[in-house]
Amino acid sequence: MAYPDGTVALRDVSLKIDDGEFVFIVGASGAGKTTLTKLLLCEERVSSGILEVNSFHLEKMRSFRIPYLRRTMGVVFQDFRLFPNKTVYENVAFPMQVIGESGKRIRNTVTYFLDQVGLGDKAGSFPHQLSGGEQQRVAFVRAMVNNPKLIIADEPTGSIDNDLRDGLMDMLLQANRSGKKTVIVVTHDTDLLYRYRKRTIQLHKGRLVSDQIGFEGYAIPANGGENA
Amino acid sequence: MKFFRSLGRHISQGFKSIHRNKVMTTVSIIILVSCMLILGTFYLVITNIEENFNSIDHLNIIEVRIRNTCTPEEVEKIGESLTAICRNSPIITEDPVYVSSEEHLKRFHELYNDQTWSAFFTGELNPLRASYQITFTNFSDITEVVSIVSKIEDIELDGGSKAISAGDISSCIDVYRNVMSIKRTLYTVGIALMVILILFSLFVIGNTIKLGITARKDEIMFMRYCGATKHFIRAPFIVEGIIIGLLSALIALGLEYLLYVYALSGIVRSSSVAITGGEIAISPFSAHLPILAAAFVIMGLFAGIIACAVSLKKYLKV
Repeated sequence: MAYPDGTVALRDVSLKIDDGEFVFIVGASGAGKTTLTKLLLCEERVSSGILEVNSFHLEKMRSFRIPYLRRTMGVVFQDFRLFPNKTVYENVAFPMQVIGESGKRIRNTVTYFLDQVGLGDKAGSFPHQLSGGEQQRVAFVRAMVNNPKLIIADEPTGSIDNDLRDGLMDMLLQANRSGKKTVIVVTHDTDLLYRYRKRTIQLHKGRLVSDQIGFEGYAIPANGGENA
Repeated sequence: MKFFRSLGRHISQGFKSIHRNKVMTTVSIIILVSCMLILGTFYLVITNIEENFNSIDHLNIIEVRIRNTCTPEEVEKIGESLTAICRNSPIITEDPVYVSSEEHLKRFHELYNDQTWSAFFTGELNPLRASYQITFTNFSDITEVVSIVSKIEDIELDGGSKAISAGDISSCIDVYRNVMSIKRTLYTVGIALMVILILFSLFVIGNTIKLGITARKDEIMFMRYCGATKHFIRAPFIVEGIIIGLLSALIALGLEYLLYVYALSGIVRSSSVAITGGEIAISPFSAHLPILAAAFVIMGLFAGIIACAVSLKKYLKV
């Protein structure tokens, strides 16, 4: 995948992630993790090759179809990105409003999800009135509320302590196991990789250098990955 | 159903955005209202001038006055000569019409019935003379009409002389030309001012929308990730532009009414008296309301939607 300025961000990457898998995508800064995430969300288009996500062929997909692809995904951000001027209820309801769900369906679904994560009594609170863990749960529920097939967590543990990190990972694993969701966690947090032995796809300078269960350190080739 | 849900949300978001950027929205509305007021005022002034010119067109009549000493046979002979001339002229539309001195006196009393001095002029003291009225197409043809009619001997044209003085005619034409020149100037100045203000209002509304986009940057980004369509993201801004446009049209219409009723009519009336030396008809505001309302709404929608579209294209990458 090359940017208009000629920078090749991803090259010769061939991988398949099945439905219901839990996958870590790792790599140092500049490895191509962000580009891969953008490709999955169809923020960027592949310059050559094939990319299929949730039965959408992204390489030839028309622009007006992009929102419908994104409706099959839920995104969890590093810093939660809750709307400070919206209540917990409004934050969670927002993705459903965006796709035009009915008020009744929104009420039922949001109430159900908030109860599931123990935030039923905080529905009227604003994000600044919540603890870090509560904010994290709101962010997670917000990603789940439209029943996505794929959850993308972009550096989800980047700015949180260990307790919060474990809490979030538990929720993602639960969604993967019980909810049959495909989960892709993009991270450079090696502790996370050692702790949760899952399929780990390693990128380096835009190339796929390792794809295995578990993590045994960065597999940087001697030549820097130029001919990997 | 989904459409109406989305529409309700867009309208609510549009109003929220207006509330959020109330200072810029107010500035946008003020500029757009000024623009509309200029358009409306120039339209009303020009329309009133034109309407009064139409009544001047009704005065596209010259009177061929007949000496009191003329016998009925002489009067008839003059009538026949005038008819022959009028029928040969392309600029004279109708046959001459005879108006007796009694008829002139009757019209005089009708015109000045509120003046006590008019009562002195009665049947025996009637200073008015019988005349033939000659109607022609354009007021500007008056010189030619006078020169045609003057060929007839034994008549007097206005004032007892053989012909109307050149000065009288040219002063009439001068008034006509002056008013036409004022009208053209008003058109030019009005259109120029309006174009400048429309461009300025497009710029300000565009910036208001830009501020709205900036304020909602995170929300827009998240909406995209949630699967919001382009239209869904853009619609609240378009609604905001439409609200600004419609609100401006409404305010401008109200202000235009006040301006017309309390100020413009007074100014037009006094200046018209100065120009024509007589009363001038000011049409009621209600006569112009449909056109003004339509013009303001179209202008408001045009400015709101265009500015919004340009701003969205420039600043909102969906």
